[in-house]
Amino acid sequence: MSGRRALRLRRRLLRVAADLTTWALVLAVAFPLFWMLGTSLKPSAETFALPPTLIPAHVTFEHFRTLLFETPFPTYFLNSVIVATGTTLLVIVVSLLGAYSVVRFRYRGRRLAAQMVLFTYLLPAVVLLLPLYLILASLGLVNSLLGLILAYTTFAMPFSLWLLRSFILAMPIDLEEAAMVDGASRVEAFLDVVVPQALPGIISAALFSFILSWNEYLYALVFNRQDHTKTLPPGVITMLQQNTNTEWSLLMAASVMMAVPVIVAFVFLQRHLTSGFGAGAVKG
Amino acid sequence: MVSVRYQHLHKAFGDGSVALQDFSLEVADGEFLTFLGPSGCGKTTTLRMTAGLETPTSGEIFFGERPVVDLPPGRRNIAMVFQSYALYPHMTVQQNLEYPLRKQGVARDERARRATALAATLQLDALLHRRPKHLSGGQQQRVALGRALIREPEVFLLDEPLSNLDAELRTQMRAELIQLHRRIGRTMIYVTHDQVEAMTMSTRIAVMSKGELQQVGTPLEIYREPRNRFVAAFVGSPAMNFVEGGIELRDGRAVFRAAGLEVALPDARSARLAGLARASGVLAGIRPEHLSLEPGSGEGRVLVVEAMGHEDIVTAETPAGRIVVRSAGTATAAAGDLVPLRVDPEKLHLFDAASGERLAC
Repeated sequence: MSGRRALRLRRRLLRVAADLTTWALVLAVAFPLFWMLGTSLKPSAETFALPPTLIPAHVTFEHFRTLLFETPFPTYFLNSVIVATGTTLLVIVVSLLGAYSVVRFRYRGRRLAAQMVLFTYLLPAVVLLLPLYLILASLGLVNSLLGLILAYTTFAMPFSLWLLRSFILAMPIDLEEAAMVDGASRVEAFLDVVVPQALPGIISAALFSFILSWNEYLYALVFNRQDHTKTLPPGVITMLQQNTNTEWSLLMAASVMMAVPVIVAFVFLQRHLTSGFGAGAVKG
Repeated sequence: MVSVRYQHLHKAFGDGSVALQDFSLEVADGEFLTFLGPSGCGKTTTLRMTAGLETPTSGEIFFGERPVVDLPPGRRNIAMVFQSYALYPHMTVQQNLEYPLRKQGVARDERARRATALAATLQLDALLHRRPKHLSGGQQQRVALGRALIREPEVFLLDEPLSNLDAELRTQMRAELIQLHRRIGRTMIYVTHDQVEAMTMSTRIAVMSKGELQQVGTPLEIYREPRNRFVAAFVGSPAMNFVEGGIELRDGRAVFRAAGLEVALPDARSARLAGLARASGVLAGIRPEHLSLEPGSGEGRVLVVEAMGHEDIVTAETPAGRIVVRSAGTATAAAGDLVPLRVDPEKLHLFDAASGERLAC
């Protein structure tokens, strides 16, 4: 009897310990975010105050106002939205069709093609920087949003293709055949049956592509040197970090605004995201 | 309403394997025809070519007078029930039922009206707003049938539709399918490896093996006069016994003789068999139900008795090999007994041992 009680106590203690560890981790991970939010809302004078304040003594939206009305921040933001959205759409369309083709059609070299696509991941991004720059330059796409979209697509596509491939692999072909017998063309069967079922995978791939192109710094910095085509990461850094002087308050305000779209996307799509990463691995 | 005609249909796959060879058959208008055979015999491939999901290597398929090989599945005016049911998992029962109509461009109200009416006849009315995964196997089966029925196709194709159901439900659905066929009177082509389904439901059965048509006939013809050893062995449960021996003429009468077994054939058959007399190379097929534990043809040592209640399935070892007997009654024999065996000479099937073909008698 007492043995069982001891066991139960031990289990409860273990759970408390696990909870505490989890929360400690969450706090550690989230702390910089709180600091970022706090700093963006403090007057500049308070930023380096001693002792430091996590919660601002005086709340001000001055930095946000400055960014929005006195800097090219809105342009960068819009560019980032265009590039991230464009990349996401392109990646999804290309990789969904590609994954479908690799799974459903038989042709010479389809396995090789799918594997070669993964090959790009073996190379560090820096290695591809110059070749990609030259290609884009010869196409006249340097300093353009389209060029950046194409460059990001080459990075996000392999992951997306393989994720969607596993989704389509797990889909019984009977469903498409049933749709075709029911009067659908192959394209209609694809749209009516394959796409809805691949939706969790599509959402995961879309989030991945969006975040990747939203946060990318190096390529954006090198490819787009002109102000009107700059995206947020290089734009914000070059704008607020001149010589040795960093506008911390503005930088933090910019960071908050950069984080908002991603956080919103995650909140709404989180459920699909987890099911997306889990599916495909386990069939059914 | 159409007939379906297969003309010298041939199908080879990319890897060189041949799924179907020179297959010709006419399925009459309104007929319930079953392709019966073991897996890999080409029956599903033939059905899929009928649906347009597979293209024949050569040959033609006609619906009525219309050649259909070049038509996509959606334009053949067929419906197909898949073994897996292939219900669209992201759609409700109603949306599943309406899908073929949606593809035909039927207006929303009309679609809903027909789906509701059909759901009522299939006892699915309470389930219209559920997703397939929340249905039982039998309900899913009915939705699959409903989706096939709703567009009133000219030809129904059914690919082992009952194989995923439990035994009780299968028996029930068999009866429902028979009634359904009688009611709508459309041409139905049914694929199965289950001889009971084939025997009970079909107008005619096409028995297939290794990509070739073995025999076409009514269930009774297939059962009574199997054209070759394969058909004889495949249809019937427990399976037919085979004993190898010869035919000899004794006093103008043909007698089948094997080790420890003798069956004198009736006069009518004797006359026809006279020319076929030979000492060996004859295969006799004896159905277990045409044997009894009475003196007359030979004897055997009982190995196993399976009591079914109304009959015993007795397996006996004889000099000519193992023989299974369906013995009416209870406790007709016990393991170890030496029992007499009598073959009904009217029901003896004779085949050429080398070719497996039925001997003309």
